Amino acid sequence: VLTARRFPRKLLRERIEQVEVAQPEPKNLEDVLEDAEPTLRRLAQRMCADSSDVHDLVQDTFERACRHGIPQEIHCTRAWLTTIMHRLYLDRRRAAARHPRPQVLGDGPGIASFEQGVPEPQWKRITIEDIHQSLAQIEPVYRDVYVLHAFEELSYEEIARRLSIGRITVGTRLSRARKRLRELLVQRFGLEDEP
Amino acid sequence: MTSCADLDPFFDRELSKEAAADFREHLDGCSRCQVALHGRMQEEVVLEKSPERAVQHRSAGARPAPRARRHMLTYLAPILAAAAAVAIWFGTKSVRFGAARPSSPTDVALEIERRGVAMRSGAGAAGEPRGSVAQVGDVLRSTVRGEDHRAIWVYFEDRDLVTACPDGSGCSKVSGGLTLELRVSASGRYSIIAISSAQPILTPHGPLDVMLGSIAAVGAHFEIRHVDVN
Repeated sequence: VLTARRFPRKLLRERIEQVEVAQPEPKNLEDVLEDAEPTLRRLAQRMCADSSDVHDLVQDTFERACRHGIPQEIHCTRAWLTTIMHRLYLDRRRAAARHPRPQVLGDGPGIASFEQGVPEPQWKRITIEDIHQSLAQIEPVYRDVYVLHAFEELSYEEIARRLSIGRITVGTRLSRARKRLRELLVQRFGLEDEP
Repeated sequence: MTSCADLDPFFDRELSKEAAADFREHLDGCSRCQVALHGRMQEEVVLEKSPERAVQHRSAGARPAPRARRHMLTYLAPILAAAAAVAIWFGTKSVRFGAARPSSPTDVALEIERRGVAMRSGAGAAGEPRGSVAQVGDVLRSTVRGEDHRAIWVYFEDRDLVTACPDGSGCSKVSGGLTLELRVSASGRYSIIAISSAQPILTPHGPLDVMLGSIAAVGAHFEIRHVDVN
């Protein structure tokens, strides 16, 4: 009931079309970076310990992208940039473990060649509508938590209050919802599942 | 003690600072979590394309956090309610907000067409109820006249933007005004905001409470009509 009320399908479709029409995938690198910057910053905030690390990680990602340009075969540039950021993040962690003080990363052995070989993630084939369709197949008890977290961006605490359940239960249900969602997407699109 | 089970709360920023630091160390040596983290990041990229996220984030720099927005609504709603009450108390023919410019009225008409029969709703006389009731499949027809720039926004449940004129679907310009025709397709509360302004009106990019604050700040005049769809 919660999901159906919050996301009337017809309204959702109309709005998806509006968003997609209004925001076509940019092709110019400068536009790509400007378009992706808020997304990358939010992702970096999820992983990094402080704001200076967030800033550095986003800048390094942009620098890497600028140095090599957008490969011809890349269609979803945000996903491509996200993959670069993921690898840079892990490389920065490794470098930080090796050196007590953070250092600016050069073209170390771990990162020199990956840009050209970065495959476009299989998530590129997944649309937000696919996620909604898969969510419809998930048990409501898990789906509702996922919807509140993924679309309304509520914290575990807020979801717990809203649904009158424990905070730990929220975490558990959310993990199960994600696992089930991935299973459905793997089944449907042949994504490589997490190990 | 951290483990792979902490990946989700880590990615959701639900771990304490210390627990997050522990998980980062775990992540350094766990290839399973590294792959899973990439999956979470890619999933987020897809979710960012959702209409709800798109609307919320388009003005990210100027937007407060979701919790703060709810607080803003808590403060803004009584102010708007008080303004409406004062306007009605003075017996005005329609409720108008914005800068005190008495010579700049916003004239709004709202009709609900049911099975081809149009019914005028909330004509604006003092004391008349501002709300209306419709059914799924009915057509809402709203016209706004007033200053040089006009807009009509429709929100569902005061949160989701359904359409926005003059550029949205169902919008058309009539002599000296702007008209929207919208067939309602879901049950719930629709809010129709008719706006006129001497200045260009911004395109809505956030929840209703935030956008009302924005247009009120630039002195635009607006009226809100609610339609409950059963």
